[in-house]
Amino acid sequence: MHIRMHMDSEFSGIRERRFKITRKYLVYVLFALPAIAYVIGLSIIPAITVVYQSFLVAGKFSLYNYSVLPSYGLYASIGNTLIVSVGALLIQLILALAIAMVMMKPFAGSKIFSSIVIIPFGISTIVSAFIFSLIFTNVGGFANGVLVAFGFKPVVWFSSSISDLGVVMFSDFWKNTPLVALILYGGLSSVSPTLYEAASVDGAGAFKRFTHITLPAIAPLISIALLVRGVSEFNIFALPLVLIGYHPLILNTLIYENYSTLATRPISYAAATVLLLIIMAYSIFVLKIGGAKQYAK
Amino acid sequence: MPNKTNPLIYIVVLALALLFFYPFWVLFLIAFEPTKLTFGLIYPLQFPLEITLTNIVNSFNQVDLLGPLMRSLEVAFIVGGLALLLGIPAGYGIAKLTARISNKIIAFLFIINMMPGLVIAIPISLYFYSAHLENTVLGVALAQELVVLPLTVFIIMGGFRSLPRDLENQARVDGAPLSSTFARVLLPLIRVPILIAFILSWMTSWDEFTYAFIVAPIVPTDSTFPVALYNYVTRDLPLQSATFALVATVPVIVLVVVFQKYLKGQYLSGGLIG
Amino acid sequence: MNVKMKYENVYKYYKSSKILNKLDLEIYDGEFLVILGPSGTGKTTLLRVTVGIEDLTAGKIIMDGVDISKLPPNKRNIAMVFQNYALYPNMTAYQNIAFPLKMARKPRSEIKKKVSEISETLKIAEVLEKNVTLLSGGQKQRVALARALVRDPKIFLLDEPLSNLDARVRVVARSELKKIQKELGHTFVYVTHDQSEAGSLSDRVAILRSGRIEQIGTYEELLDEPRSTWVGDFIGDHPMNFINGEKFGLPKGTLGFRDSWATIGDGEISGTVELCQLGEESYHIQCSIDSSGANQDIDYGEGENSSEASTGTGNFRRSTVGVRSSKKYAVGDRIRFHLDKFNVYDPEGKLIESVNAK
Repeated sequence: MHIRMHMDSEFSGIRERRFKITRKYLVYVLFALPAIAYVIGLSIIPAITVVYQSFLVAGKFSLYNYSVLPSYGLYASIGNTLIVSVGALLIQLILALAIAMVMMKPFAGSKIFSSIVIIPFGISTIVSAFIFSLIFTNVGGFANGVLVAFGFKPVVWFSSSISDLGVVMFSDFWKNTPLVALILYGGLSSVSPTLYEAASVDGAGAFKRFTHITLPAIAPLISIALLVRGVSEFNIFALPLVLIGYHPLILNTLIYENYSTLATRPISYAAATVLLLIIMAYSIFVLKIGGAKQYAK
Repeated sequence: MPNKTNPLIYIVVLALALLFFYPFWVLFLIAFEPTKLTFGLIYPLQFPLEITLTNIVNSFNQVDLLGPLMRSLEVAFIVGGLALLLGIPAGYGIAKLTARISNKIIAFLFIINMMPGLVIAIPISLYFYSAHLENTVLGVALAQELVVLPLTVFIIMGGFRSLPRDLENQARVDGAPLSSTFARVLLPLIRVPILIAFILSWMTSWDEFTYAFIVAPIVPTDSTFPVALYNYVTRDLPLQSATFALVATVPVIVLVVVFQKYLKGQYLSGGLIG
Repeated sequence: MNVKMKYENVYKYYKSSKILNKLDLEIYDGEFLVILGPSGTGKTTLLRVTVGIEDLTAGKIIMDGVDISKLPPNKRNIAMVFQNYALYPNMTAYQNIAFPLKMARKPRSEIKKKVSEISETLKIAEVLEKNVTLLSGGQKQRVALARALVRDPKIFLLDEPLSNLDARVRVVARSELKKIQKELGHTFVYVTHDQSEAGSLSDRVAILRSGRIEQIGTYEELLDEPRSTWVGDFIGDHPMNFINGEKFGLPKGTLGFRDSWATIGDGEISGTVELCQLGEESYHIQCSIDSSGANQDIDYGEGENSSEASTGTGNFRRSTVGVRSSKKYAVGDRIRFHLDKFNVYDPEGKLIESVNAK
C-alpha cells in the first residue's frame, strides 16, 4: 500500500511536468502568433470573402455570376493569361540559365556584369512597364530606332492580340529574370567542379556535360523557379495595364475592370475565384511534377 | 575548360549586358535629352547628341513629385519596421520549435504568399474603407506588409537557427533576463539577416503597385510613387513620368549594388529551397 | 562535509526515452566532483537540468536547503561552462567576462576590478581587448572559465571543457583547473567521458549509467572495489578481467581482477598449448591461473608488456584477460600467474566481497 502511494505521486509529478513541456512550446508558438494571425487575417479571410461573395446574387446563393462570366471575355482572358505566363516563364528561364552559366565562369568584368543583370531586380514593375512602353511604341520608339539603324524595317508592335501579348511577355523579363538567375546560380554553384573534370576525362563533350550534369543538378531549382515565378506570372497586373490596357484582356485586367464599376463587382469576384483556382491547380501541378521532394524539406 | 576563359563567353556576356542595360539607357535618354531628339524624332537616336536638365527641372515644377515620393518613403519605412516588429518574434519562436512544426508554419506562410494579389487586395480595400484606412499611408503599409512578412519571418528564422544553441542558454545562465538576452546577445548576432529582411521589405514596398493601387487609388498626391507614376503614364506625360521613374529608381539601384552579395536565390525564393 | 546540492528522485524524460531515471546524488561543499560515464548516459542533461535550461520531468534539486528545480536559470546563481564555450562572438574577451556582472547590475568600477583580477589569475589579461573569435582554443577555454568564475556563483558546472583542446594544452589546462579550484575553494561539478581527467581532477567520481548514479567514490575506490562488474569493466586504463568463479571453488558468480593484481612467477612456464597470432605485436597465450588452489587455463593476450584482446574459449565471462609481465613469451608457452587481489561478484554482477589474498 505504501509503495503504491509512492508510485502514484511519482507519476502524477511526471504527468504534470510533461504538460509543462508542451507549455514551453506554446510560448514559442505565441511568439509567432502575431505574424501568423496577421497573414491569416489579411489573406485567408479576404480570399474566403471573395469566393463567398462570388456565389451571392442579391444575398442568395447563385451561380449567376459564373454563368455570365464568359460573356465578359473569360475564356479569352484565361487563354491570354496562359500564353503570357508560359511565354514569359520560358524567356526568363532561358535568359536566367544563360546568365547563371556565364556567372560560373571567370571572365574580365564579371563583377560589373553581375551588377548589371541583378540591378533590375530592384526596379519597380511600373517603372519597367513605363520604359518598355517607350521602347515598343507603335510609331517610332526605341526598338524601332534600333531596327532602322541596322537597316531593318520598323515593326508595328501593337498590331494584333498575339503581338500585344508578345510585348507583355517579353517586357516582363527585365525585372524578373534576375531572381530566376540567382536561384539557378545557387544550384550551379553547388555542383562540384570535379564532377565536370571527371566527365571531361571520361570523354563527355560540352553538350553531354550540360545534359548529364548541369541539368539534373538544377532540375529541382528550375521547378522551384517555375513555382515562385509561375505564380507571380499569373498575377501580373501593372505591366499589361500600362502596355496594353484592357485589350486584349488577361484575367487580372478582367478582374480589375469589373471591380472598378460597382454594378459588375460580383463578376470580378467570380473571375478572381477562377484565378485563385488556376493558381492553386498550377502550384499543385508543379509541386507534384518536380518540387515535391524539395518542398517537403 | 573550367580554368580557361572561352572568348565566345564575351559575346554572350556582352549581349546579355546590353539587353539588361538597354532599358536604363532608354530612361536616361528620355530624361536627359532634349525632346526634339527623343519624341521629336520618329526613330529616336540611340546616343545622346545633347544633354539637358530642362526636362527634370520642368517636371519638378509642373507636377508634385516630392509628395508621392515622401509617401512612398513613409510607407516603405512602416512596412520595413512592422516586418521586423512582427518578424523577429515570429522568427525566434519558429526557430525554437521542432523542425517538423516550423517547416510546416513556414510552408503555410509561403502558400499564403501565393494568393493572387488582386484577389486579396480587393476585399482588403473594402475592410480598410470601413476602417477609414483607405487612401492612408498606414492602410497601404498594412496591405503591403502581407507581401513581405513571410520572407521576413523566413530570413530571420534562418538567422536565429544559425546561432549556436547554447549561446542563449549561456546568457540565461549568466543571469540575463529574456529582454537582455535579445538586446545584448541574440539581436546583435543576427543583425545581417535583420538588415537584409528590412532592405528587402523596404524595396518591395517602394516598388509595390497592386495593393497601393487598390487601397490608395488614383489621387496622385495621396498615393505612393508607383501609383502616381501610373497616373502620369496614363495621362500621357512621358517627361514627367521619366523624371519620376529616374528619381524613384536611383535609391533602389544603390541598395541593390550595396547589398548585392546578400541577394541570394535561397533567400529570395524563401523556404522553398532546402 | 556539508551537502551543497542534493538531487532527489530526479527524472528527465525526453519523449519516450528516459535520460535521467530516478537519479539521487549529493554534492559536498568545496569538492571537485567528476561525473563520468559513457556518452549518451545523460551527463550533459544532468548539468542542463541543474542549471535550469531544461526542465525536470519529476524530482527535486536542492541547493543550500532550497528547492531550485522550478527557478529560471537566471535566478539560480549557478555558473556553467559549456562544451563549446558558448562565448558571445559579438563581444571582446573583456565584455564576455563582464557580461554576468553587468546582468547583476554591479557598478562599473567593481566590474573592472573583478575582471582584471580573474584574468590575471587565468593569464588572459593581454587578450582582454581582443574579439573572442580571434582567440586560440586554450584562450577561449580560459575566457569561458573566467566568465563563470567572475560572478562568484554557488556552484560551477563544467561540460567537458577540455575536450576541444589539443592533447598537450589539455594536460596543462587540467592541472591549472585543479589548482584554481583548490585555491578558490569552489564546488566544481565536472562532466567528462575521459577517465584520465576523472583520475587526476576529482575528489570524488560519480559514475552515471542509464540515467542514474551507478557508484560514487574516490577514483581509487572505484578502481579497487567496483560495485558492479559493469563499473569494473568501464573504469580503469584496461577493463577488469572477469572469469567464472565456480572454477575456483567460489559460489556461483564472477571473479574480477585487474592486470596489476596478477603476478607471474619466474620459471612457471610449462607445457605448450596452441596459440593464435592476432597482429604484429599482439597474440594471445593460453596460460594457467593459480588462485585459491584451483588451476585453470585462460586466454592471455600480449602486446608489449601488458596485454589485451583475445578470443575466449568459453570458460570466461570476458574474452579478454590481461596480465602485466615484463617477459616476452613465445608462441606455445604456457604460463602460470598468481592473484594478489580479486573481487567476487554475484551472477547479477553485484559485488559480494573484495578479497586481498596477500
